[in-house]
Amino acid sequence: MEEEFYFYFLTCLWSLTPINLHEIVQHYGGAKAFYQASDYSTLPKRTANTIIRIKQDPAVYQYWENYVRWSREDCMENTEALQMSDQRSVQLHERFIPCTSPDYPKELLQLPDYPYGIYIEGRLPGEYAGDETKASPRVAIVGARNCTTYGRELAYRFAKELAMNGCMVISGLASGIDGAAHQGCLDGNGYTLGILGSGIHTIYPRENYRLYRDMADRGGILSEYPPELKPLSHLFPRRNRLISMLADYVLVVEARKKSGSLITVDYALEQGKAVGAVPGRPCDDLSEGCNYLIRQGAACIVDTEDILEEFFDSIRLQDMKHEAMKVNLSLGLAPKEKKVYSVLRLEPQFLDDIIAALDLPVWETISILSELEVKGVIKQDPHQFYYRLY
Amino acid sequence: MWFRALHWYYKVDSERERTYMYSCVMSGTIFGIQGVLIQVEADLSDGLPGFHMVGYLSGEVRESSERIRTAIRNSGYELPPKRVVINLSPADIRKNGAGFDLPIAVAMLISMGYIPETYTRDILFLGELGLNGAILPMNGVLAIVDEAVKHGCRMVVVSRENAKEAALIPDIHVIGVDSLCELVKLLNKNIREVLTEENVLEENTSCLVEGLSDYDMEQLAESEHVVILESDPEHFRKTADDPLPEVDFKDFKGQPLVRRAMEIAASGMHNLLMTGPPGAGKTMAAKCLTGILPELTLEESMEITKIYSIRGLFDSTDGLLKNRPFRAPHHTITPTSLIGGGVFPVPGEITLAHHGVLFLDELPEFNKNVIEVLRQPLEDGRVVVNRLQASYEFPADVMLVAAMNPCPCGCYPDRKRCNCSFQQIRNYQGRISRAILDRMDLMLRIQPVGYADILGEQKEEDSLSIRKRIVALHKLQKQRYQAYGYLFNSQLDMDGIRKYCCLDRESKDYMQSIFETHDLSARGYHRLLKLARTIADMDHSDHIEIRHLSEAAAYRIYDQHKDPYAVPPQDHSYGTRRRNR
Repeated sequence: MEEEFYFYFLTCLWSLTPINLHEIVQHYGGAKAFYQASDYSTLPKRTANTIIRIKQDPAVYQYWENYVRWSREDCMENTEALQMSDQRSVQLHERFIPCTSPDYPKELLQLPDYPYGIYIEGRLPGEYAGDETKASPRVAIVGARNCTTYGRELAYRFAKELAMNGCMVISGLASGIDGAAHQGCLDGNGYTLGILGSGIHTIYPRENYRLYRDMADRGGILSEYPPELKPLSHLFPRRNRLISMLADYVLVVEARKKSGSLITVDYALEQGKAVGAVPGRPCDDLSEGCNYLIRQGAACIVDTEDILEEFFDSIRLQDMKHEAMKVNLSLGLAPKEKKVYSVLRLEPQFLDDIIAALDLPVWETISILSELEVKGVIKQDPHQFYYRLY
Repeated sequence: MWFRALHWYYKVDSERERTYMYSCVMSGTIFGIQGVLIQVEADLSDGLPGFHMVGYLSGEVRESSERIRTAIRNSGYELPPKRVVINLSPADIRKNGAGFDLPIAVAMLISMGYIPETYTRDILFLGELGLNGAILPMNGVLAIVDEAVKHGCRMVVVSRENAKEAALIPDIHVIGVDSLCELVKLLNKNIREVLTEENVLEENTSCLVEGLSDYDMEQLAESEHVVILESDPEHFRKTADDPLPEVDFKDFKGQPLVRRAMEIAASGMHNLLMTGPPGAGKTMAAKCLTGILPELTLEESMEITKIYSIRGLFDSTDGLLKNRPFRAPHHTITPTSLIGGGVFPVPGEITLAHHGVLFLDELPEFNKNVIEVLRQPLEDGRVVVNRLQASYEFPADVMLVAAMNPCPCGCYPDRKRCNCSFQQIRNYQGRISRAILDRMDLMLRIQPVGYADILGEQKEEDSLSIRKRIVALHKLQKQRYQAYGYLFNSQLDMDGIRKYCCLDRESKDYMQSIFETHDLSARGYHRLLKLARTIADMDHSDHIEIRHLSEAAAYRIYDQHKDPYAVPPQDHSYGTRRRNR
């Protein structure tokens, strides 16, 4: 308990860059020594001032007190369950794991600036469903927040197919590509880990509220910051090093040339991970980053198989696409429906353009589109922009 | 005759002095959008000279005392130093408006003996007075005259400007007079006798002159101060040629979805919401709508013209209103001016759009509560304004057409131009509540047309031929719903839906799958059925089939506020502690 506190204290020093913090701690000879030190004068003045200010902040103690109390409650709640079943199957909701704990992910320790402690809600990848999947490959799917519908569908599909084939999906729980990837993985009944740039009690962005709840139950949410920390823009790039470190493979779906996704890729390359990117149309703002990566030598990913090949010798694909094709055939679209379907593309297309591309009466086109939507082969986003799913 | 004899008797008796007595004439005021008849009584008696008005008067009526006295003096009549009491009854109705000047002046003149009392019996007087004795026009003449005719009145005196308007009501003689002294001259002949001899009239003063033997013929022949009109039931139809629409649908190129949706909306009078970037043609589409709506029927027209007359928006030169109203209030409008109200409630924009189109451009820019007050009127087709003394009911059977941008900058989903965050877009669209969206039958997106379409060699159908189809459909619906008291598919009630929107087994199954995939509300379900009914009508189909339902679903269903955007419970907001398991 004692020792845990010092590491907890260190995580509260989030305003220091991790590498700085490591230097300081080493300078004082460990977390405990640092906390108990009375004289911070041997540091550069600016840093020292920051530390003193933070240590005197009563909120530090408040966090700690709360945290202890909550953990105790949890433990009490969990005692009965512990007696009844295996420890692994118990859902441990929220924990603080210091870097000295055996639960702490080993991969992270390889980082020069590994976090001194992590907060986790749900489960860590290593704790997921027993030994069998312990070695299951982890794929990070990253991309733009402000993505296209096409990109979102793509991320969703990749994640779902990866999950169905026994991979874990790691991402940043942001809006756009990240959210779609998490959702896809959950829908494929896989384990997904979200790494936040804010505290784990802060749901940001708000649109992921439901996703956040599902992930806490069926996956995991991880953060190196104190639970109540609000989203601060400068803290977000830092968590990208954790995303790439925890993953075996980084897939970029849609990214601008200057973006957080490319920061993640930089970390991944430093850490020696494989990187893949989904090619996009040249000239498209959102594919510029991906195409750039491919030109630099990243794997060109057009299919889930391309990623699975990296991990499995014989691919036993439970591919959604093939299933979908089967469904498609068994549904037996009427000739006119096929005609309308063939006009649709993967990116949303406005209804007027679809009408113009066909020589059917207006009312017929509209009603066929609507019927196809009910059948689940096409979707609209936003309203009256249709795209096909397969 | 008895009064006349008495009058002369007294005059002879006391040489210089006239007789003063009690008199009473008829006038009227507006109560909500209803005309109400008011009795104006005047009494001149001995006592301290003074001028007293009673009868629950509003400010403008109280002020009229000065106007009336000056006008009478300036018209050349001597005001005696007597005690004058004016009463407007019934006393429990608030009298407002400037229309009481003339009847009060006439009542006083009768009391003073300048006009024989018998000649003014059962004549309705309406008008404001100028200080020089001119009779000025007022608002709401049509409604008051209509009410008077219902009570058996057969003659009305108004200002010349109001004469045409009053003559729109059948079975009434209208006398339009320019000034008070002209009126007194006229009233000193027994006009009623003259008029019943059927030798009158139609804007032709010479006919009148022949009837009036003891009137100064020459003066009246040249006078342009008096107009006598016989009401003309044909007036409405006389000028009712097909007016050309202001904006024609044939100029609306390359947007088949808009054309189709507009036609459906007009056929069943369904509410419509257009979403699209600036310049895509939302406002133009709305203007086109007036060109394809059928003309008003006589009854509808009378109802609306009265409302316009009350608000002072009616120009009588072209007769009753023929085109369906199209009201487009600016987004700074207040709730009161939209649905009506005020200390003495007057109808608002939604009532002015009765039987027509209420167009709200830039819907999210409207004040939130302005949009929300539309909820009840859109369901009921009327507005009820409650005041302590009375509640006023204004008709508000409108087709609501709204237009909005999809995001603050307007360009979403074109991400090349739109940089709005999801939060911004959601906030912007969230300004329109679910309740209002639920009342929109057709939701449609408009995207800008390409260059080829603007140049457009391609010929599009024009408004008049679209209108022909819609007229036929309106007729069909009117016939079908004869027994029910409503006109259009959009007004169907539960019984109507049960009877006219029945589905067969196949379409029931289909409806179920729509219901489940899109998570419809009960209201959404019924509105979808009504819309499908209209589409089926356009297809000349007696039954609603799958193709009608599916087309309706494409317009009706709008998953804007789908689950992920639902507001989370309060204890899970930013920065607060989330801990209750």
